[in-house]
Amino acid sequence: MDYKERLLQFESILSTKNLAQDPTIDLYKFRHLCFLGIPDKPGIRQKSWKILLGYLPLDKRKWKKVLAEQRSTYYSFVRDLLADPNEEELKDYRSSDDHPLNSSPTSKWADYFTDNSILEQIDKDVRRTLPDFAFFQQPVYQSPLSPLSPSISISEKYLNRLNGTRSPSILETLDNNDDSSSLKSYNDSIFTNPESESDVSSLDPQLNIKFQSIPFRIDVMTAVTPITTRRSIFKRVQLLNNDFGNRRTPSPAPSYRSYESRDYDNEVDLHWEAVERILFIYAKLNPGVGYVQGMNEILGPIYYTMANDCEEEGKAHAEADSFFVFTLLMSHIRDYFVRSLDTDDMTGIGHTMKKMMRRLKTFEPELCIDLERKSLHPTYFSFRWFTVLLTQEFALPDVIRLWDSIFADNDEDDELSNGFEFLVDFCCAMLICVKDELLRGSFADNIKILQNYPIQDPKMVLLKAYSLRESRLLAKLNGEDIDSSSESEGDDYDYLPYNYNNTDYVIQQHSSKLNANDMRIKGLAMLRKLQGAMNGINDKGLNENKNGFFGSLNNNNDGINVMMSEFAMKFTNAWKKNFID
Amino acid sequence: MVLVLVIGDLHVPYRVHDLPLKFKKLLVPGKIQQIICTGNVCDKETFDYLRTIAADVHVVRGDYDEFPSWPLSKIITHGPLRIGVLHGHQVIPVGDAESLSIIARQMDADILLTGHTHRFEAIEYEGKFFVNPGSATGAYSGFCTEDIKPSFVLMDIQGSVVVTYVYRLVDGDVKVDKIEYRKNYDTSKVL
Repeated sequence: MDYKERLLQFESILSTKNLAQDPTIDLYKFRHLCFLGIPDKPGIRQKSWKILLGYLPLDKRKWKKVLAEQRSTYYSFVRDLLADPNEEELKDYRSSDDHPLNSSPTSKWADYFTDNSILEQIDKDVRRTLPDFAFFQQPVYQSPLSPLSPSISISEKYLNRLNGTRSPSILETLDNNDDSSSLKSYNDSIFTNPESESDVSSLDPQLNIKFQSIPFRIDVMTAVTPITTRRSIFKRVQLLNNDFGNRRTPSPAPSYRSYESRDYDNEVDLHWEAVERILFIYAKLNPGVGYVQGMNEILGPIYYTMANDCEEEGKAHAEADSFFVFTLLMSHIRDYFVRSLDTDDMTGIGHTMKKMMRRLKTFEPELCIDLERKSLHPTYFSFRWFTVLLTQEFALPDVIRLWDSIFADNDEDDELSNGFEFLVDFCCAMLICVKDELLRGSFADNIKILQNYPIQDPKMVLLKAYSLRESRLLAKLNGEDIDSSSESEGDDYDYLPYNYNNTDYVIQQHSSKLNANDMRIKGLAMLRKLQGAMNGINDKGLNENKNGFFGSLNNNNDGINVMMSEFAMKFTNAWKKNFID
Repeated sequence: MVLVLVIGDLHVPYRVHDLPLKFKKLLVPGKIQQIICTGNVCDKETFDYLRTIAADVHVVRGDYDEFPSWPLSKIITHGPLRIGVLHGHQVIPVGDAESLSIIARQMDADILLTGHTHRFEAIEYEGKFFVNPGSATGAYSGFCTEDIKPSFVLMDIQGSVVVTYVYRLVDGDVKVDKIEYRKNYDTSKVL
């Protein structure tokens, strides 16, 4: 399929016209389409990512409602979680018994101090996120739609551009931000002109997108009421960095942003500040994971994509949408960030790395044995590849393109996998593509190559990864699962490095034996399910798994064989076309 | 929002051997940004202990202190607020509101922190705030006839508003009280 065709297909899938005829997106088809890359036309990628990760539902009629709900949830988080305990006390101070030295767990002050340590960590990391890009140091797009924008500085000219109507009292109504009746009148004044929709698109070329006909409405509830606490965490950080005892070097923020002389509520956020806010709220809402260094690298491209949306609405709510997209993404890779799961080969990142090595063994046994011989443990290089989803290996535009494929291949079939099978394939392909250099070089050379991956253009590696994936899926269809450890027990031992001769290794051996048994049982069960599917038996597992590869085939056991071979054919054809074209 | 600990009149080791245990449990490092001590710490070890709680320690000389190098009074600025610190043995009559008020006007301080009476006080008088954290150890004092309860003060300074938390050890339990002070910007005053 050439580019224009694919673009048209995307546009037709994502369009919100003709909702009566074609309301639901076929996720399976859409994933397949995204897997080969999402076109760079503005607006498409943001929507596609939201659908792929599950933020937007498949039923297009529900989009507006879901978006509005989720966004208002986010804003209520900002309001509640960012409040300082002393500000609340000032308003209402006779009621609470809390005091700053209170160390009991119910105390707001105690929470405040524990949060401060998280906040410090987040702040340090976020300031350094993607330093080469000017984007993060620039101010956030201000919009009357977003409660995170300051309340003033909206010029009349800008408003007219948006509305197409001229209303002299708009600025006055905006000044009474907390009065919802004035907001309502503002809202009504926009739509006195029944052709405002078309006017909007004709006035601003950016808004002129063929397939976007969502009318430009301001929802009364989430409109201009600005959230006063949005900058409170930056004040806190300023205080933390403004250490009285001269213990540390001053913070890298430029001196003109000194907080004492400025009017807090009307200050504009910078993009990295928005990222910091998102991470802080995520850490507070997920105390089990908290904040781990690396999350900022994952959030970076997500936020960048969302904030560069062409639609007014998209840009205004970029922060809220990024938060939810980030949360959904994290639910897949959360295991990589939980330290307690790092010790075991069966869970967390250890498991994924092991999977990669197993696939390497199947496809390139020579390389695998060579790496083991040099005791080049996958942790040394692939840890970073997996945890931050390759953001550190390639340039940002390439990373975004890779993520299109990774999100698209969200296979929820395997209970042990976290869904990003293509990521594992890709990392395997990365190794295979530098195979010659790896085989030639010593341990130190290899480490150097793998930590500064030499191939900057991912196209070659991508093609290799496609072929790996195809082979793997075909193998699966034939009943052999590369990933299951139903192979001999010796397999596990081959994987562990040879010259690891302390007692930990011995303990590991024994525990891996026990776990290997478990794995074997699970692997056999999975094989059974696969075989049952192929033979048309109504296995219990099939009914439960509605979203996976098998479930999407409408639970029609009889048609499965036909469907699967059809899929295989389609896939190979598509791949061939891409490869040859 | 800056947390400032105001403490004084410990008289360690001459009159009391140490701070009450419950107070020590409350004073953990990391939460407090600054300490202002009104004097009569008396001991190098106690001063070092104060330094472990917060890095920034301001102290003025009291009549029983061992460090002659400490100043007799100090002024510390937090944004629009000027905080004056004095031990109080210079003020006669001891603890008198009017005399303290004279000192406050002389120092041009909005908040005046003094000690020496070993009795907690927080008074707003003529637009200025007078805080006496009392004695943190409950040491004996010649001026105080009633029972001396150990106490100290924690001030939460945000701009021109100060929320004062008073920690007192009453019958073996720590009691916390809260007082708020706002600086009045007197626009009719000529600077």
